[in-house]
Amino acid sequence: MHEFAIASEIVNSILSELEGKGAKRVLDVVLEVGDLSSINPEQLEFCFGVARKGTILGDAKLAIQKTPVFVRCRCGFEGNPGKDGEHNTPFDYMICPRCGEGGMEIFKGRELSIKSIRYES
Amino acid sequence: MRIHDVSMEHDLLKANKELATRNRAKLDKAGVKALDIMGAIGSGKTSMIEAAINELDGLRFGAVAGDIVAEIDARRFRKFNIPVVPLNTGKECHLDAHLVEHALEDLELDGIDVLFMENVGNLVCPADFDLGAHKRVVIVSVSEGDDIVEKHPFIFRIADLIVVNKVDIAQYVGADADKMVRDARKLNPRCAVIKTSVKTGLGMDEWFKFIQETAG
Repeated sequence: MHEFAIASEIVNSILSELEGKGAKRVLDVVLEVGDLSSINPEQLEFCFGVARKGTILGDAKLAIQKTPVFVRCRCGFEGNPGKDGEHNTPFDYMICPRCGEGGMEIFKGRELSIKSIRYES
Repeated sequence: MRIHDVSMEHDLLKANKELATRNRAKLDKAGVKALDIMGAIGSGKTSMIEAAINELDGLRFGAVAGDIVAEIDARRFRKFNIPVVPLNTGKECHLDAHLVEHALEDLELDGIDVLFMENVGNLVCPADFDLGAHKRVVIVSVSEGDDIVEKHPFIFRIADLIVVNKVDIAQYVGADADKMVRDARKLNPRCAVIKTSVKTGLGMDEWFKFIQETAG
């Protein structure tokens, strides 16, 4: 629901990263979005298209790398708790598939970061 | 023309996390304990805060009222003669540490023991944004449907207290409050889960006790 704020943060942090480096245009932006992030990738792409207007990111391609969930449970289970990897609800990810308990430690799946960029100078 | 590849590894929520840490340090320095009160629209967040301010005479309260139009809740808190900062988020769906940082500038923290930060009514976005509070409370009401906990698991996972509110009307809205409690306990086994009704007073002692314990 706050995809536009995140899209603006992406544009601004890349612009400040490139300040003074003679960048003419940004070609690619790679984002990492965990499967448990509350960000909707499609909405984020749309908002990115609006937020980058008039900047050197105007033609940049946005690639979203999705990070699968990785958890560890007290019962010893380690891995992705999802059932089929495609149509899981967040609740499925939070209940241990082995012992049926919640409260597992989440090691991966919450990411929301800019991995890398490619630019032209 | 040259092409450059740059690895950034820039966490987009990091700026908020750092500001939240700074807010918490500021509150600690002034001896203020803060509670982030989260929950859906109409779950009873404002009423639960009002009940606590009314009941706990020995504590000096302050409030940050976050909402699309914050003045309405702020007015309700001002009736208790406590310092209140209305935080209009405009179209934003959650409070963030930056908004709270400015609100803290407008409060005389030395005169406050417990600060309520009432978040925008939403069960999704506030979970991602630490405000710098010491405890995070999620209030959910039976009228949201007894599958509401299952549908928004993440916010319940990060809570320090889960309140299932309005249990007095559960039978009229066909909701099973105990199922909500079970779901919450399953998601967050270490978290206290209480059933309350502001109208009948049920469970309110546990709510007041939680605030007193947080105040220390």
